[in-house]
Amino acid sequence: MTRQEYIQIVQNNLSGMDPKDVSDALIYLNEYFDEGGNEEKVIEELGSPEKYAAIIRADFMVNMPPRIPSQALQKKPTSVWKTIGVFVLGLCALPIALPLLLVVLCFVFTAVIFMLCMLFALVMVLVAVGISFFACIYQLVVTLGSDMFVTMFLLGMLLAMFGAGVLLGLCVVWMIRKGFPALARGISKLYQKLRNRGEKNEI
Amino acid sequence: MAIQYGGVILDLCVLALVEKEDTYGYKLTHDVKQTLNVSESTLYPVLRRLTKEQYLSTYDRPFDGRNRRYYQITDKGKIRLRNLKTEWKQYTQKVEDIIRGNQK
Repeated sequence: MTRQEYIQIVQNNLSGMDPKDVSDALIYLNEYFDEGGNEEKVIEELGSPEKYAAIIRADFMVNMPPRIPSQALQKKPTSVWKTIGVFVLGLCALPIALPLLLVVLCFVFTAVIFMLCMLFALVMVLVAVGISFFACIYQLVVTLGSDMFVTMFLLGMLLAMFGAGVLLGLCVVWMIRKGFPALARGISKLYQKLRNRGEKNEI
Repeated sequence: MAIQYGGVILDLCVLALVEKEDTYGYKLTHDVKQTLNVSESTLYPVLRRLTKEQYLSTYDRPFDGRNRRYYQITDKGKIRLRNLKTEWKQYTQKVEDIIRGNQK
């Protein structure tokens, strides 16, 4: 190896450093060769040019502020590709997923409508029972004593109405307090399940 | 196993040598090498750092038709040398104490 080659290799291995630092180092190195006289002897003393450059770099790097390593930043590109991959996969799954989703939506819709109708019907029956109840009372008061059979009949009806009304009332209360929240929870559970499925596929 | 002369110890040696006499890179390296077992590549970063921290200054003198860069100790460098000498004394004293079993 000649002096020129040696210095060139050192210069190459110092690339990326501050240009002023590089030029200072090379000036020193050239002077060193000048002083040393014998090229071969100097090269032997100095050791491998790569090592020489590495030691200089190491010393300079110690005094430089820490930089974020490029590996840490590379996470972003991979996640972009991931998103694209998931999107494409989702697109392919659409022919099956979409009808399935529609079915689920219809089911949910039906369930909600059903509950509402049930509630409505119950309330209606309750009202009817209520009306009959008061009608019976009125009739009882009016016909009290005139006809035993009618009186007994009306009394019986009254008690039945009362019982039915209480039962229906309880049903309505239960529906409102437990039924609807349960339905809501069921729907949200279903929704979560679908989301988790989607997330699982992404992993 | 050879004791490594790293970090501040080289600073101390270089400053001490330059204080005695202004010197240039090649000569300094060989003077240090006569006593300590260091490689040439380690001296340049030390010289550069000491110069940057203004413990040393440089000037050029023509020699044999080319330039020779001389290193010279600054006032700041003299203070630094004094501090390093004190530290070194304390450091070696402590090591001696341990070796001789004079630990307190």
